[in-house]
Amino acid sequence: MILLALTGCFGQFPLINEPPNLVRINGRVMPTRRNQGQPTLPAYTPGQPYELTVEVSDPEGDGVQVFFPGVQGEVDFDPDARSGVWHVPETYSGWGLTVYLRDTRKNDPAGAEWTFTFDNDSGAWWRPDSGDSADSGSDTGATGDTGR
Amino acid sequence: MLLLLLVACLPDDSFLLGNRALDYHLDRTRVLAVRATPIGAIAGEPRTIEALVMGPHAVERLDVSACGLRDDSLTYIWGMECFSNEELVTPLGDALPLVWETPDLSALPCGQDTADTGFEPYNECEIQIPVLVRAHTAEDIGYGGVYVHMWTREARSTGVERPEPPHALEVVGEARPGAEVELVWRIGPSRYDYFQWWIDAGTLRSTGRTGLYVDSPQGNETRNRLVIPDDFTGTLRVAVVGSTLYGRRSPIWDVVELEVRP
Repeated sequence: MILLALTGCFGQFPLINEPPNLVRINGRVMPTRRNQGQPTLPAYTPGQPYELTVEVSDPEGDGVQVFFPGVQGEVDFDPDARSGVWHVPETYSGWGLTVYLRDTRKNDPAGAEWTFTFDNDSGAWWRPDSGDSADSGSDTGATGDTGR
Repeated sequence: MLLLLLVACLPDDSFLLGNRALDYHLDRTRVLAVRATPIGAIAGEPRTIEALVMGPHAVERLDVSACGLRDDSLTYIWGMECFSNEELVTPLGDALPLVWETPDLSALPCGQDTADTGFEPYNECEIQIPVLVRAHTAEDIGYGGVYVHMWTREARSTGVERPEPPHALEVVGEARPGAEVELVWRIGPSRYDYFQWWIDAGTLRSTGRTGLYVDSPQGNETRNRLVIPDDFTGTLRVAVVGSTLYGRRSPIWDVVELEVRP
């Protein structure tokens, strides 16, 4: 009962391990309210290294690791560091940049992710290769490893 | 009557999800990829089903099944929850690869009245059926699946599976305990959009999900870097699967075995 009252008074009671927060990325401040839009990232140049800098926090004060899954090109970024370099491919096609933060709690890590576009993205984040133009409808999404 | 089982979105839309990007160890039985070729075929034509199954345990038994296939109505199914209703499940076989002789559904009417369901009338001559592969071991069961899309009459698109491009996974560097080796997967000239990696042990510097590193008409390439554990010796397997957005092509894969010696 007391617990319920506390929950009512103070919002979500921290019964679970909360995921980390992304506070700032490349100087762009993340929204702190629901109705604020997510920022874009500064423009990239295909073929040129792109500096990445993040500022993170964790509600419980756990350590935070930083990952960039699925990025085109390669990201040199030690998960325990706060800065690194993305090697933007010369043929980069505007896929976007996904950031995944995971806290370091051993048995119950929590994570959160964000995907960013860039100031100079054209919005054409996918293009078919030359052999795909006639393939409009056949759709067989491979779902390997569906989980347990 | 149209069977509508709209139970979930694309299972594989979680490609970028960080928790999956970091879950790349072959620490349990896993069905890493399933394909049913040729994509876009017409119902009544055979499909070859293959899968990449890996894990720490020997696979004792496979079972492959489809769900929601009917001869009296078109079905279009997203999600694997269909398999929880045994009445809707059709066993296809217990070994892979297998050839599935799909039923001829050309007599089915194409347009379907959605009555008062709130859905728009459904006018296509097509079905989509999930196929599930279960790999049984003494310790656990691995699951994987693929959506098999079929036109019941004439294919609207070309419906032709393009030849699988040549592909090879190269390991650059010496596989020693504690060493970091580069993994280079070259595919050409077809384009694949995203890549999923698995390893027996160690750390993948670029996580278990990577994008294109080189994208050119001559060929494509993705890379990763593997940090071998300090105390590891023996055989260390590396697997990579390439997939396309919207299933434009069937997935492809490669597996290499590294002999890690001090």
